[in-house]
Amino acid sequence: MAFQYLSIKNRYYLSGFDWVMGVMDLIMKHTTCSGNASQIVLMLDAPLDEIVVRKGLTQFLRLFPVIRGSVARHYTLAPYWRMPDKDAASPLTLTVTRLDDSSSGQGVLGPLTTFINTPFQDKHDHLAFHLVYGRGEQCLAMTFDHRLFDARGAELFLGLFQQFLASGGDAKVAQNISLTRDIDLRGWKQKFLAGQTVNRRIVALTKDRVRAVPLVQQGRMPGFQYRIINFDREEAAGITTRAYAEAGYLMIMPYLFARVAESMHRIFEQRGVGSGAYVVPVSTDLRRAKDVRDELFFNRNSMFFFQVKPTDATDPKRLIASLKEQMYQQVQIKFPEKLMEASSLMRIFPLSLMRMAFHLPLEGKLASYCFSHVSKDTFASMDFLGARITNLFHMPRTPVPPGIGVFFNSFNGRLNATISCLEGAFSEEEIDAIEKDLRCSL
Amino acid sequence: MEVKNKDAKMTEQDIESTLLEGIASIISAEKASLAPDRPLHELGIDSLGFVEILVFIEKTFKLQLIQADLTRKDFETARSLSSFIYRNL
Repeated sequence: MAFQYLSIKNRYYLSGFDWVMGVMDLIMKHTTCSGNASQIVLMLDAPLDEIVVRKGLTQFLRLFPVIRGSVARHYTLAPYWRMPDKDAASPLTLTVTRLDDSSSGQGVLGPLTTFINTPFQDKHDHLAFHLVYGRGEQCLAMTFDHRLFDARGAELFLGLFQQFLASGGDAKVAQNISLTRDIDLRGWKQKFLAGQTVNRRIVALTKDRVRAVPLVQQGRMPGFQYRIINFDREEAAGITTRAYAEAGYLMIMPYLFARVAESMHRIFEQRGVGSGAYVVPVSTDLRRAKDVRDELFFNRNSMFFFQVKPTDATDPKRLIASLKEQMYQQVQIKFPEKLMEASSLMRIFPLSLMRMAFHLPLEGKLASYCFSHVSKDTFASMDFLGARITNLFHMPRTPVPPGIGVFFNSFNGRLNATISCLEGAFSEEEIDAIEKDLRCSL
Repeated sequence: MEVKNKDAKMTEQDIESTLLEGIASIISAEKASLAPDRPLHELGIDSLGFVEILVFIEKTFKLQLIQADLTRKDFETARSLSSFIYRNL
């Protein structure tokens, strides 16, 4: 009979994918100026009252000791998230930036880029908030450690904060949030079989050489640079219509992916990046619970892996057909679920060993670039403390390698594309070209 | 498009009912709450959810549709999709 260790108070057993995010965090801390973090930005039509936000945040964060947690090991070697006691104070990081005429021409993007490239203070620090008051534009940003939330979870958390403020500080919003997870030390055969499926797919993808831009080591730890491309409701509706016409009903993801693949191919070709095919990891949400609060914290994502052949990248019809077919095949064999299952086998290994192992098989060329499309509006409200939310977008630090990615999200009928690029990986002109391509081709 | 199961005797209503069950399971909803005439995108179904529906259709009705035209007219609702499946069985 298998032993079963149930989660106990103050302890959340990490999934294999949580562990992978921990490896990414370590890799990024060794190769860039900060860890595996992301940032959600709420653009607002009116400035928020700093005092109200600070007071509200202080009260709200106190409800979640989990955000001051850190990684530890059970004696079975299963890693878990150790949470401090409920009474432990959650120090608040809230910065306030006022842009004046002398600020750079980037507007709020300048300080937002600084925030996402600023490391957290210590191993218990996973969250920071920022208010930016610009000329004619203002925003609230939340920078978060990807080990604590995935993108959708972070949106949900920010949504809870909005509800908390709207309810006048009612702690009920934090009730019934699930913070337990089984230690998951059984079903080994199933996990190994899942590993076999994953292995086969990865081997098939890497038969051809993986095209990747070499990441140049600089004297200092590089940060990330960003471009945010906004499509308003009318433009987004036009993109949906074209996606339906070219790729089929509801096939927005393959359509967006194809346009990104074409643009990336042009840049790689201009760079003369060798032979082989592109390998592109695409994150996907595996949430199934009816109550989103059951799946708020930690990672509920997994990955698809796509291969884009250079010959397909110049033939839009064939490219879309190939992406749809690959998506279908991976859904059919439940690849993302199997990757999640198989990744739990890796929890036994120390992060430092995993960091090296991630580089071994493909000489560090794990992928060509990243892509994602978060299609569901998880943040439900259209206002925040009386200010209207004009847009919501994400600024992820792309895992290194590959260090470059294009990430789409939708908000209230709008569509945003965020280009996230490690400094030095692509030139300004190359990022300009991707931005121009996407604006024209979508 | 791969068309199999020529001997299937399912009615259009049977297909619709089976399809609604599959969609309900994919989006974690109650079958009774799904109106067959409601567009799938209004049910919060995205590209991935739609591909999951296509995989369900292949497993259940032996029809592979991913490389079909996936026109809005035929695929927008559970009802139009059932009708399409019925015509192609």
